[in-house]
Amino acid sequence: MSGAASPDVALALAADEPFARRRGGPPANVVVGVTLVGLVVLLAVVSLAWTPFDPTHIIVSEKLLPPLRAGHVLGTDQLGRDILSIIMAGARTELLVGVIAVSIAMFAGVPLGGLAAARGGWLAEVVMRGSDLLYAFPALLMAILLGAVFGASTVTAMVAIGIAYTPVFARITRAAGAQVLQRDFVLAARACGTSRLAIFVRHVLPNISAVIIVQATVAFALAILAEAALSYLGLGTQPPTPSWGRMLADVQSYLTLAPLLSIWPGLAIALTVLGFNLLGDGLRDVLDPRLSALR
Amino acid sequence: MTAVLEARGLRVVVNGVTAVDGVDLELREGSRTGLIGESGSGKSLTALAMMGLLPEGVDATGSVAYREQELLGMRERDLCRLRGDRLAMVFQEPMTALNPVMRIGDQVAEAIRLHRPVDGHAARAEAERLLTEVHLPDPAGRMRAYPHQLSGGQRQRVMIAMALACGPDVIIADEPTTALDVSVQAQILALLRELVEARRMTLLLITHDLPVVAATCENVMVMYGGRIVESGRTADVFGRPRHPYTRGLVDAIPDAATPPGALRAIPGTVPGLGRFPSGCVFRDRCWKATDKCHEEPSLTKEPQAFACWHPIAGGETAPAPQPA
Amino acid sequence: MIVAAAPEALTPARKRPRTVYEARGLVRTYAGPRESLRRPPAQLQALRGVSLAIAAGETLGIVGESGSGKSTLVRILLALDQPQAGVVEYEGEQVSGLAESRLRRLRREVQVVFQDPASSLDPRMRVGDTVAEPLRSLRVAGDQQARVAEVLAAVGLEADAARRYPHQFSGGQRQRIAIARALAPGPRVLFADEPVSALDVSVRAQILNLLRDLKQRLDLTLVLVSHDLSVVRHVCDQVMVMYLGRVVEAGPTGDVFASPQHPYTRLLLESAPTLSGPPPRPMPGQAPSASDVPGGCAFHPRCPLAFDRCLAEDPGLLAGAGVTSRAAACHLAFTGRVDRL
Repeated sequence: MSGAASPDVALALAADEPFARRRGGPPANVVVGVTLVGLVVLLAVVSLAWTPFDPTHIIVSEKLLPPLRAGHVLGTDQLGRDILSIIMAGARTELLVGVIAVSIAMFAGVPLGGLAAARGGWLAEVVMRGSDLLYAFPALLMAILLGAVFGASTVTAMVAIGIAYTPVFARITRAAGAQVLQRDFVLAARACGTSRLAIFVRHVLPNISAVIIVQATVAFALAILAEAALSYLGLGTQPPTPSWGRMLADVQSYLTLAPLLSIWPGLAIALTVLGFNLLGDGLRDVLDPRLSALR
Repeated sequence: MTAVLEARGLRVVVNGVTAVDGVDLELREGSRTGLIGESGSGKSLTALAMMGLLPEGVDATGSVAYREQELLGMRERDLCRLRGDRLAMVFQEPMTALNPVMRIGDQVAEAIRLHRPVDGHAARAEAERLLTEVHLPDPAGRMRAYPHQLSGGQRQRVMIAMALACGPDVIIADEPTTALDVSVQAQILALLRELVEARRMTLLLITHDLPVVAATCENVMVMYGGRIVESGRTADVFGRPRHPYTRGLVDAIPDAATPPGALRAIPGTVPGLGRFPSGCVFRDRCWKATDKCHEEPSLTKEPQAFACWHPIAGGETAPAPQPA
Repeated sequence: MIVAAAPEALTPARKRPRTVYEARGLVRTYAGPRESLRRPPAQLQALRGVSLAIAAGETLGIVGESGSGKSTLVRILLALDQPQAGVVEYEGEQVSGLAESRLRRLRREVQVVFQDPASSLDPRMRVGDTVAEPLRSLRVAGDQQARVAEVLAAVGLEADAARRYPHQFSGGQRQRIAIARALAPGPRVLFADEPVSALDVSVRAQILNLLRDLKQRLDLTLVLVSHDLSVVRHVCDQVMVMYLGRVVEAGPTGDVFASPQHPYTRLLLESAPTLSGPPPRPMPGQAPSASDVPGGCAFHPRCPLAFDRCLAEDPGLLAGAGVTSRAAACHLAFTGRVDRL
């Protein structure tokens, strides 16, 4: 079905076509997104078993080597550590941050949003306004707070980002959930005696999963960016654990001496974020349009 | 009487599936014609093709001519000049056809100014006149209202006013009353009939609802599986149908005269697009089908034309209803 | 079916069949959307005092247009919504105003089929799971899979339909699935809210035949809500006509349609297009919004027979003399005046 058609025409097409038909082949942005994300995951997984060199091994005599010298594919940093190895190990950190932060945000935000959608009234108002308040609080500030109390680390960064993103999930769950709750099949479920909780789990969640998954991929990308920023500021991952953000901070002083140094972590961050964003866009196109076009 | 809008061998292909399969259609000036079809019949696509409104990715071949001007393949620019001005369309769901953030008066005035060189003031005056013509209550007040403040019937009247804005020749109405209540439906149909007669327009009314056509149109065409299976004067086609599908449709509608008991339903279901059988499109649901029906019947040339190898004669009806 | 608005309207009954449902004085008002920051939202009067009684085994048709309150009435009878005033009794026990946990019996014995088969089935659930849902939620004992196969067969679908998803079926088949789901817990009463309006003409007859057939075989009480008068005329033995939140006429279908005693019923019948009858006569005026119900008899602004009493006094449901179960809410009902419209 043509996406450029007006709603009336789309309805007309749908009216004459009782059964939905799937078009073959995934969209281009999904392919690129999956490739990039797959690459990062691959690097991270491989790094668990093997990296070209030990990423924390300092050999000052081999500092600032250009790429393809002495077995260092991407060269070395100011302390002689192999850049490729740091990138690979750093991928682990970034993915871990993404997974944990998004998980926190999802498992906190979705039930809250669901509660607001199902109950409505003053409870919904309290939850949503509370989440607005949280939303206004930048992740950065939260990380500083947690870092000051518990000592800055990857964990404080993850938790801070997770808490800061909870409102996003609460909000979309509430909006999408409220829409699903209006549908006739929910009314039919109530007429069968299905409990409110069962309705939420059995009917609402599967029908909003598309929206949540897309949001999760986008949040993943943002979480990685946030961690990079926090690490750059020294509020996230602490040495010697490799982190792309901290790499950026480290190489600042050497920009004139070895400009390539800053490109590698920057590129890694950019491509990973791009990959997840494209994946999210592509997923949105794949998971949603058939339903909205036909209705 | 001349043919104002004519289709010859119209074929529309969507995603490789032939949705409209060789349709010949002729609208005489001043006539009111109904096009009956269920889902999968291709009626909406036929309507869109006749207005040049088919979306991209959808191919139409054959010929659609408005007063001898070929519409298929016409440049969008020229089509835009014809649409609204000479050919107007009224859709089923006015809420999606009307701009929700624009006042009614402005929308109607815009429809006028698209084709007529008048200033805003004159356009709004004409808009109010049109709203009066479609019997919208309190037209002056409604000029400043938004679509959501009107009822379904009132919105449909506004749609009709916009369609009439430039005094078109032809109105194509696609399920104009399906979304409306029974009492409002009667009002809108009466309005359409009155306007078409007063302005000497030609009406093509597309719907799945046989009684609506019976009330409004003097001619009717029945579509199934992308083809026209019967056409003729409404009284004849509904009173003495020749095609088994038409017979089935007529029998399926409970009427004051229908005896109590099960209704005669057409067995089976409408196949999806692209899944109609070869030869006669109706043969897998038809009680009169034989091997001959593997060959596609063409539409006869009589005034009441039908496409069937075993047309119905006399008071023949389908066998007794089967258990559900 | 017997309809009562006030005690004096109750006629002495011949031996009445068992009453399955009884409702008295139902009132339901909703707050409308907020149109302006300064004024409070308008109050939509969906039901303005509806009373009815449904006898076991009857087929009742509820006819009304949008704003009549028929869908609200169905929801309240199903205890999916609570009235602000009035009482609903099922099999003699009150069901309105009760917590969900006390409604087990109602949920098991009263089921519903909705209008739009596309939205009444969860698109993410397999058909078998959808049909089995009432069995799960009501904790019905026995082999659930077998029961699912049994009801799917009863509605004319093959057992392997259970493994497929709703979008793989046509509209008519989806409606059959919805009916199967409603039948799964073995109900005694089935509500069908516009069950065929969203379906193709050729499929409507199949579904209506199916409902008739099931009602007879399973000895159900069937309540059919429809705006399509011809469907109600053909399928239902009793009919109830609603307008702006009130019952305006009720009685045996044949009698009501042959000789309506409320002007609205009469005009509605005449405005419906038919295949072979006279051309439709449009009803005068427009239906007022439920937030702006006219005083006195709500129909008086559009009624060709309105006189001064109609503006001042709201007629209750008046029973026809000598006719036990016919009633109409019009000052001129049963006077022959409506017949001469």
